[in-house]
Amino acid sequence: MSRCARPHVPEEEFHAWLDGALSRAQSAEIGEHLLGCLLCRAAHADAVATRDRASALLALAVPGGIRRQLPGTRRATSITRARIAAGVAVLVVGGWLANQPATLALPTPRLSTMAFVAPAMDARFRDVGGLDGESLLDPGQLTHLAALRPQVVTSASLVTVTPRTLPLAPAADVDPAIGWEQITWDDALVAAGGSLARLEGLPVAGVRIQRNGSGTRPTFFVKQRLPDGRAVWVVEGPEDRVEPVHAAIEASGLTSSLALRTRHDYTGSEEAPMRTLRLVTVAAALDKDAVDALTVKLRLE
Amino acid sequence: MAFDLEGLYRTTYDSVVRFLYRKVWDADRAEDLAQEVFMRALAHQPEKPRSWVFAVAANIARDEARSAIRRRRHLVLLTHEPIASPSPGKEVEERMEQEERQAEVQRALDTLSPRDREVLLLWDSGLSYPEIAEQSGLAVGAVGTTLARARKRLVAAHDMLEGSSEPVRASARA
Repeated sequence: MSRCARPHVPEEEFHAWLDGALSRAQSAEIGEHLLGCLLCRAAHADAVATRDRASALLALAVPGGIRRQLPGTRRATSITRARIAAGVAVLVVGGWLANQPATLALPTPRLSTMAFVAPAMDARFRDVGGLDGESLLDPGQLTHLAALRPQVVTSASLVTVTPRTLPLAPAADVDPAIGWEQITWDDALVAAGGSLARLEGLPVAGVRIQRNGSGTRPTFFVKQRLPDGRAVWVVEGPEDRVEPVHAAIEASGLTSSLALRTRHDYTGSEEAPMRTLRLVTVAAALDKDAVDALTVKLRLE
Repeated sequence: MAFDLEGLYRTTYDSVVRFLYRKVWDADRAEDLAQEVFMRALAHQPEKPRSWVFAVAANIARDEARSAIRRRRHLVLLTHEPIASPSPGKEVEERMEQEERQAEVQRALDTLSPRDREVLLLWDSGLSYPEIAEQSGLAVGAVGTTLARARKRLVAAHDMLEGSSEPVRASARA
């Protein structure tokens, strides 16, 4: 039965959403609504099918010699200096995560908020080096890294789709490499108050935490592995903390899923509880549809 | 900021050619017109070059369509002349099938209203919603509505054309 807290999503809004034309907040609202509305999920599937079919037809309507882009692919907007800086920061985080050993393989928790998926990141981030800034990468390298995105997702549970570059979110003035530390899943679970997002059925390969201080919920990167060995990251944290990280990760050329919101958390002391909202997303160097498809596996402990 | 023709050319040329091809349906002509667009860009050095080149491409394609009609009147007599053609091998068959598929999509696109078609082609060329809005005169919020409608109509028109052409093909094979 449908459980809808807001009116059904209009068809054109699904198209704008699929085209990456909505704000993060609007996207989160739609994602949240879809979780509880069967009608809109069906309408969303229709919109996806129509959009993909139209893109395929348009791709047919050009001779092979000038058919350079795949159906439905979009050109990345120019990479600004700020985006490059954000991208470098993300690559550093990605490099850290990629180098963590796959030590944990735990049963999966239940429904949640925000995550990132990235295949073959180890090879892509191998040459990134240290933390000392933009000299590590130039725009050409970022473009090159983006071009290395895989063509399809090989996991049987995912949709096989073409790679796609979405318009990049505005670069955020944050450096996610600062203040991040590695912890175990058990410690992360404690720090998260017993509720932490991850993808069901995939082994956890590492967790990184950014403690946000003053009773605020931390931000987490949970690294997991797809069945074919590719790395996947689930990122969750308070709305204002996750959004900049999310923008930075997209700026690096990864694709992030729609952001989902959890129910409100109450953090802080009993005398002064703080009501916060968590965002959860999945991100990877995969097609948007494939990354969105992964969100059905999101679970909260 | 200095005008960067090379960067504009590198990032936009392919999209402009595809955009123009779907207007003039001639690959060579589309590439010629795209060159013209970038020559004009060099002369004008527009502030918003990406939107500008597509606006100019649309105008050039309109002019091209008018002159094509005039040319066709002269060329029609020549179409009756026999043309030496290679023996029909597999490559030729495949090319013909590809051309047939292209023609079906072209006919489906032609059933759209000019505005729907324009918005759809601009989106497929990589323009963002605000860029499409700027060029088409639509509000940004209306771009999604127009795109949703255009996509549905394109798919429906193609399905209809495909369905109506099946009996013809079947009888041709019989």
